[in-house]
Amino acid sequence: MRLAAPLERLIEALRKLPGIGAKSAQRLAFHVLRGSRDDARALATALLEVKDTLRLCTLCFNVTDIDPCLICADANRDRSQVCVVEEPHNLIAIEKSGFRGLYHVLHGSIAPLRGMGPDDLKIAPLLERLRDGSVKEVILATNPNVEGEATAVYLSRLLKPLGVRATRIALGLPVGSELEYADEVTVGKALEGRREI
Amino acid sequence: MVLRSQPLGESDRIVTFLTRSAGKVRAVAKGARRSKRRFGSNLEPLSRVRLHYFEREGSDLARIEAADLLESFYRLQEDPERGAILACMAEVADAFAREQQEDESYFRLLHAVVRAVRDGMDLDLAARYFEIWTLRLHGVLPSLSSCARCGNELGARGGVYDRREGGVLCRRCAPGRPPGGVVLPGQAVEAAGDILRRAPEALIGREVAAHGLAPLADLAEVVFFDLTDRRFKSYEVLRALRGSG
Repeated sequence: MRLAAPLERLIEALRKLPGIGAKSAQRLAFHVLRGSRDDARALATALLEVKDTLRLCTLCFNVTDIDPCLICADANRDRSQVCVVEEPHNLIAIEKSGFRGLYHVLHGSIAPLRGMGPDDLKIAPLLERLRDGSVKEVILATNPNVEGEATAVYLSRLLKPLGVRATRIALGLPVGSELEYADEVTVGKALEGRREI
Repeated sequence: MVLRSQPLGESDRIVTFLTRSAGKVRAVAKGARRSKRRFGSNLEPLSRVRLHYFEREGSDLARIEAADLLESFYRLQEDPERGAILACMAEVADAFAREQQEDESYFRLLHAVVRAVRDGMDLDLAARYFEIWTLRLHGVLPSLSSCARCGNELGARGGVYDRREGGVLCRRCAPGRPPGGVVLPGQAVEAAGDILRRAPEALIGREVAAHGLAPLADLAEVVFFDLTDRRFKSYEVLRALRGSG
């Protein structure tokens, strides 16, 4: 059955979003249709605002509407620690943990199969940030997969000659899981990163 | 063995496998990115797993029920350069393996070369080994011992790969270098002979001079391009890593 053209267009647009299939897109479109005009306008304005006003912080490359971003501009944060993450949404996860240092977003990882090499990442600006000597520790919080590990190793080799302490976030068993279900690589990593209590 | 693993939607992955009995298989791992308990590191590139999957009618994507880890090469790929070389092999295997067609010898080739890398095989020699044997197993490796035109042994003088002829010509038949061709000196012909005669584990600890291996890399690149009409991304990244390292 053919729907009205504007509704079809909305469904098509929603379908392009990650994790939204045909049925979910249809459900969301009808929800917008049933909702008030104000709600629809607010949604449309928010979508446009994201595109029109957001950019990357020139220091940490996080997504921001002001430059430098709120985190980089916050005088109460520990400026001796920089936590390196792959993507802006990874930063949110670290921030929730209560980390109070600064960040650097690489916008990817070294991923040969996707054609992503070191020159495609925000590595040069990271090294530039470390020049003045105020950063004492760089925490490599790239994802715990093959690409994230290779990126962390690559960065650690670049950081060593600069005299900056490079640390890797601990890898291992997720809280709330059970040991018997963990695979050998995960358990191996957990044993390797064990600490005294 | 896992060739590649790509995100799908919010929590799933599409994983490409090279299997012993069904060639290349592409399958969806539901919840692989959310639930670490279900798949853990099992779906990381080059993991050898016992795969349980079912095919869906009308879809060329199977669905993974379970993937039990038999052998992990995760640690091997933590080194960026080694990881990139192994990614080159995975990308080549992805391009050459045929879906749903038994290809046990290709599976055994990839497994043996990755194991040899783990056991200390020179990285460039391993890459050339995989490339040369990929071409051989798929019936497209030009003769690297005798001239494609006159049939004479190439020997210590080597030869030249001629793209138009699709074969290696001796120096008498091709005194110059044809456009886009690859010069293969005697050392390269000798290295290719070693690669074709020996198992990868027999080449562990063996050092082959760069001037023997580099022309074989050029040959593989040219032949891969002529066959697939594309350049492999991993090779570009490997070059960038070596350039910056």
